[in-house]
Amino acid sequence: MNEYTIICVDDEREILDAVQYDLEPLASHFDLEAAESVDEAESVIDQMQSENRSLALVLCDHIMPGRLGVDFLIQLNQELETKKARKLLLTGQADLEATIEAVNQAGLHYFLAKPWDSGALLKVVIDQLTTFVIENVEEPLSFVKVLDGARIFNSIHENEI
Amino acid sequence: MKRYSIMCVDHNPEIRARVQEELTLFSSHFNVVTVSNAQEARLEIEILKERDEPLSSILYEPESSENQGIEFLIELNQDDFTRNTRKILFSGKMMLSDMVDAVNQARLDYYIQKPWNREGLLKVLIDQMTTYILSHDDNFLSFAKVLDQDRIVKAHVDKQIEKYQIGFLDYSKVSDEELSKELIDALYHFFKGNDQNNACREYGPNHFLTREGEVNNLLWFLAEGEVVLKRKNTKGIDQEVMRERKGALIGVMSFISGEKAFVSTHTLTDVEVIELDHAMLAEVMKSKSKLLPLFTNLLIRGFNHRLQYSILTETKLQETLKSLETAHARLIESEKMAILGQLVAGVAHELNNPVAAILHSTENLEKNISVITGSDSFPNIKNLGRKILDQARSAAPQSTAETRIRTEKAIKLYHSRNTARKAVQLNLDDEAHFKKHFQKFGKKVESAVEYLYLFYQGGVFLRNIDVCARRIADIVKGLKNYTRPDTRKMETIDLHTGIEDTLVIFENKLKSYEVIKEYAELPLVECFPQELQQVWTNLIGNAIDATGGRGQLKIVTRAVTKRNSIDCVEVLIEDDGIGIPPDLKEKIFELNFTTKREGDFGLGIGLAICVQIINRHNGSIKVESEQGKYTRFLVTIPQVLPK
Repeated sequence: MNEYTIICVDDEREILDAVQYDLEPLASHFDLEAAESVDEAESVIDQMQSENRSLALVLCDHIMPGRLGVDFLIQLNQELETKKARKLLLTGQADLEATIEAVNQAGLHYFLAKPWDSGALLKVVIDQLTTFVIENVEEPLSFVKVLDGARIFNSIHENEI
Repeated sequence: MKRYSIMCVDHNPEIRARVQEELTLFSSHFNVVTVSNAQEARLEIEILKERDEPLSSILYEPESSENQGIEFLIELNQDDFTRNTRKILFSGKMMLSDMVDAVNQARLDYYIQKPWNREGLLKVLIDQMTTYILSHDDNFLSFAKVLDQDRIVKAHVDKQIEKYQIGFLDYSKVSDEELSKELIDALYHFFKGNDQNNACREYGPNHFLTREGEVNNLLWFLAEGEVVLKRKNTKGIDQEVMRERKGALIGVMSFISGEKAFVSTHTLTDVEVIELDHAMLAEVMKSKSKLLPLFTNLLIRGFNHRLQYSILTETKLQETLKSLETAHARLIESEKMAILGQLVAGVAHELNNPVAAILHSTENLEKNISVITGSDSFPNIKNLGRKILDQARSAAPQSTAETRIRTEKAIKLYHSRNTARKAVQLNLDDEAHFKKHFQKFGKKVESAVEYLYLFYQGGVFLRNIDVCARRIADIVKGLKNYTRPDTRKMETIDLHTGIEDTLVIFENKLKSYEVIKEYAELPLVECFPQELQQVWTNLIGNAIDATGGRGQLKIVTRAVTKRNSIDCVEVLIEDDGIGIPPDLKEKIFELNFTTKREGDFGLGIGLAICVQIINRHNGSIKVESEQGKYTRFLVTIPQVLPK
């Protein structure tokens, strides 16, 4: 059972499948959750919180039926429990306005454009999660295996000084 | 009127007296002379020569000559004064040889045998004298009373016709300018010193000659300057018809026909005109008959020019109309393409997702394939793996929600959430399967699940490639259908196809919408599919604009039978947007009405085009709306297009 969760939100199942596959190397240390809509992602987060699991990273499409990705990220940024989660957009069609909104109001951490490169996606997610664990996890050493070990060691080293 | 003479030469005084008496009816026009012999005749002719009373006919008795022959007639035939005199022998008995000589050498015209009767003599003389007068006096009409009236009138008509014909033939070689110049010069000449009615006038600019819709009794010959002809259009605004310059006839149509003036004519510059009313024109033409063909010719040319001008205008109008129609068709096409242009970015994004998914699927498949086909880490469950692959490939995927719920349950068996989730996706998460397949692996359960999961992923990716490729094919098909040039061919189709194709184009924009489709079983409809697709495009585009990019779109179809028992199909397209203010409800279908702003769909002529298209299908379009609540368009199309 992992303490931290990654949620991917995309209305297209095929995209979801592909992203899940790309993030598979992280599955040993993070629970991978997939949601086909913002509403579903919300209920997953509620469930997680009731089980004392935390959201580490959300990778979210923007244009989706129902609620928009950026709106969801803004909401997460406003709630204490999810504020610290890394927030990434994976989208082909957020316009400038939506992107600015995401940066300013949702504290967007990264913007990935579709179509994406699997390696690049994983690298970005690892980088973001590394930041997350350094900032939020008391014992980040356990993540050295799957995340950016050098940065984690450095941070531990700096903290000790 | 010129006087002519007629002579009778006879030695018998009784005959001379009788002839004199019988010929009195000519005396009003002819000097009747009777003499007893050739000698006297010669003297008398000399007198006639001096008095300029040409000898029209001579009645000659050969016995009255010294040599009792026809020499005198031959003599007359050799003199210029009498050469054309009608020569009539007047005798009781003639020698054939004399007759032949008379005919051959004296050009004898007639032979009256004595004894004669009055009617016979008069008939011959009238005939001969008519012949003479017709060929010698242009003013022969005045002899109609005493001579052969029929012949004279006929000759007069022939002569007039001939004169006109000559006139027309002549003038055909004359340019318009020369012709009008000749006529105008002649008119000025005519009125010179004789212009009591002030026919020759000058006007300044902006003087009205004719006024549209008013009776016109005047005709103007434009000798100098320029005038403009104007006519009111349907909105009552004066429109220039044409301009006329020097040499033109103004007011002809209304002057001649008596109808109200068709155009208003006013001067543009200082002008010189000859202004005639009917009486004056008649007077001019009467006294100067030479001008009549000239005038007629000019008139005909004037009419001809007008006719040509109007034919030309008509032709131009038709061309304009045609090019307008083409422009209209192009406009409709542009509207369609404008919408497409606005949607194409969205469509590209729509393509992006499946393309990305396919790329990743193939990439991931490559990674998995070596394990799937390679050395067997778990030979016992390889067949199970194949089964899982097939299953994942053919069945629709579990929803992520279901996966999550079942994962929660399976955690107690598989311990790791990750492994449990995978087992759920493999559909092997319940206790029975766990016991059957995994329990035996002990600590290696996780590896076994991972191994099988590779097969599952393989199946999923194959399936995704298939699904995405189909999706791309659908989008491309939608695009193709949308951009297909209108074949103008009627087809019999299910309207849903066109609606669905349109929705594909809009899919990207509609992602943030709740699209409710209530489709009924529809009969096939005879229609122009491309055109109807444009209707759906406009109505859906409007719905998106009216809702500001988010909301609810409802599309309802149903088959109905109208009261007049015509089977129809109804398509209702409803949005929950801003609605239409009541005062604009009628206006929205007008061509020059639009609420479109930048960034909205189309060119703002969509609904006008919709109306046209639907009219062409003999259908109807209605709008219902409540401000701030909804707008609902109802399109009704008959199942069969009326032929």
